[in-house]
Amino acid sequence: MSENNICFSVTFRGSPSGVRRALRMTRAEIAASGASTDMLGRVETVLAEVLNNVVEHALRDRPGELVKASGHQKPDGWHFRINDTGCALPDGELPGSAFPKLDTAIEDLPEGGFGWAMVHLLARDLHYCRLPGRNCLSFRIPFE
Amino acid sequence: MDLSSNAENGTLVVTVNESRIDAAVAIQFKDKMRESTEEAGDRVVLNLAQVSFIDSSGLGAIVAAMKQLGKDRRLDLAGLNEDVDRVFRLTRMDTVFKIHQSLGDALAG
Repeated sequence: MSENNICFSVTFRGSPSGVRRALRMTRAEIAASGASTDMLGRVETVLAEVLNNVVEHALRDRPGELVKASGHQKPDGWHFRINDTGCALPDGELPGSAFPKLDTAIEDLPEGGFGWAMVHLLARDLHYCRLPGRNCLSFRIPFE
Repeated sequence: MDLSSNAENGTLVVTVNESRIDAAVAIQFKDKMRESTEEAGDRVVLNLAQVSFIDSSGLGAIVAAMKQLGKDRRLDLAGLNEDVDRVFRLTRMDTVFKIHQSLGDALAG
């Protein structure tokens, strides 16, 4: 069995359409490994949020730079690594896991701030590091 | 961003004829919702049966669409598939919107 050696990588231009393409390719790779639809959905949600964050923030002043996402299947889930050459996360740290408050009047409901909270909830072993001129984010999506 | 709308028994049904509401189309979605609901009565149902994926930008755009309806009109959701429903549950947005299993349920209720 080679199931522990299934891996892939996708390099795409840092744009909303590039993110769509990367998600489509990733979904196809993970589906080919026999993952459940629940797993596919969780992977796509987490990857969408972290890749959109790269495009909207890290690459804000450098649209279209290349981003690389790679995935590796292991016994405890799919491990992912995202590399980009954009600016660092604020304070060099991952944004927090808190969801915005919803107990407000409708006109005050938040329209953002959900992305990283969902990432923290669905991903394990979330790790960010800043290297010279680039960012590296890694995480795992468990099978269950 | 392809939306279609029709009135059924005083409820305006807006159907999203796309498979994704994501960062690439969130602003368009919000603008099209404003156009589609200009003449709406007091209830709008957003039919998401064809949507297989939303991200947090898409979620934010749906919240924005509800807010731009104002205080006197409400936005219900119908036909959420598994991945879309997960996003609403994780973010607790399922407590903010009335969510119907199907468009038929939304119009019957």
